[in-house]
Amino acid sequence: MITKKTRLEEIPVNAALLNAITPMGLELKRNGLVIGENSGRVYGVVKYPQKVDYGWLSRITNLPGTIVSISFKPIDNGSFIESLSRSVIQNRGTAESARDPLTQKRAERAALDGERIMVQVDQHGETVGLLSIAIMPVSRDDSAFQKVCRKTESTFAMLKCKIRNLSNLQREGFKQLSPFYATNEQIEEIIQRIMPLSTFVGGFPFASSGYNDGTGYYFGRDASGGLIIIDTWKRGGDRTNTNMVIMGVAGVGKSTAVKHIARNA
Amino acid sequence: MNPIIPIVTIIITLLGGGGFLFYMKMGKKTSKTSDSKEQQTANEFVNVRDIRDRYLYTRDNKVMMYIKINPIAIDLLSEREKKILTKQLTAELSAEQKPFKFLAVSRPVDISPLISEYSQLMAGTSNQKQKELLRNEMFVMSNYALSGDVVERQFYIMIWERCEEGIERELSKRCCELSSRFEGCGIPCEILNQQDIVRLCNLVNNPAYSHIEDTGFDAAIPLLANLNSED
Repeated sequence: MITKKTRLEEIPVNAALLNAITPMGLELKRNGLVIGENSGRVYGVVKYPQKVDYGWLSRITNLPGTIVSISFKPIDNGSFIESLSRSVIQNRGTAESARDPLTQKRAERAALDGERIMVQVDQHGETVGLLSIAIMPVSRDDSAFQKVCRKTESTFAMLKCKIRNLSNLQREGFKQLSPFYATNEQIEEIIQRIMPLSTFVGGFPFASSGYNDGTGYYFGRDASGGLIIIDTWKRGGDRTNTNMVIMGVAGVGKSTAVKHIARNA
Repeated sequence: MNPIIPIVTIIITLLGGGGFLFYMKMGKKTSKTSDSKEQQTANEFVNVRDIRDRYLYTRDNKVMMYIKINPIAIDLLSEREKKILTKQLTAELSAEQKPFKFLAVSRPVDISPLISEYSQLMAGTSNQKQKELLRNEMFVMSNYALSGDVVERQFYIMIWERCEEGIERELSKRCCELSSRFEGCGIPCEILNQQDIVRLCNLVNNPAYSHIEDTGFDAAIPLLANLNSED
């Protein structure tokens, strides 16, 4: 207790720093918040699909105009496996005794998935944890904000995830997203779900499109809309030479592109 | 009449009154705190005590560290490569037994070096065609940049620990381990220093300005440059 107190007194609040990083104002509403001159709305993900692809999280983290936070809290493997094993038994029982085919198939599926995770955790020593995703579209003007909100909702719908606006919990939601707060318990209680670590890692949340050498020639955009800026004369690493292949169906402008590149070079 | 009865009555009344007063006071206190919570300023909401070196100290007694993960492109990886990378990274990260938070924020792409290179090229050439092409290029690029569509995503992992004596060393060790785990899998990353942490906070709090403002935060007193000089 004494050490805690002295530690706190040692570090005074740096007012100049605070002024530099504080938004101009903060207004909390029921379904959104205003941070400085921007509007924002915090959503939480409350349901995930049974199966996801590699790179599923990269589609969430690459939504333009949003801030995303994903927190991962490892949990005790032992008790998790026990409860998983119990649920597998229960599901198997349901599958055998159920009369209608829908319940039977669902229970079978749940039992199989449970078994698979159990093997992953028990035999490969994989960590399981509580994952919570919060996302906040941010935009300066209202129409753009509505657009980003819709885009966010549709992206999650495409991934078969369900998101909910964290009504009345915008302050806590913003805390969950901020780099200067640890996780927020109140929010986590609502949005945390059990997930193996490999699902988080295989979602490649840190993958992004686009490429920028800092100098060179602006080539265009890739399939997901990232800018491609390449310096063809940059050397280093595995780049020892530059070759280009230009492909496309007749009439899309291959020759024009080649002329363009040649002129710029 | 028994003299004890009035004494007992008085004592009971006093006790009751005291209890009531105490209760009133408690009620006032709680209503006061909830009132101040309503009127909390943005400055108080920002939970930062100070940022020193690579650590951020919060008001709720925590120390935080940040790692920036440079994005990788997975579009060009085959299914097999993705699988191998996932397995490798999962095995590495399984050793991390404490909670962490992953943040993804947008940051406008810095196209200023490109624009300055183009303008240099334009000044040095006399070829009309090339000039026209360069002008067009610059026009398109600045249009992109101004539209706000051209942003790159930046990814951070933050870890934290309760603030105690000597916890910085422990946290720093954990942070280094975590970043070396990512680097071991071919994902470049770096631990943020003071300026980068300020920039990250601004990316969330003041996104419009973070790419043009510098990150110095020391208060400065502006003085007229030549006021006190002799000439």
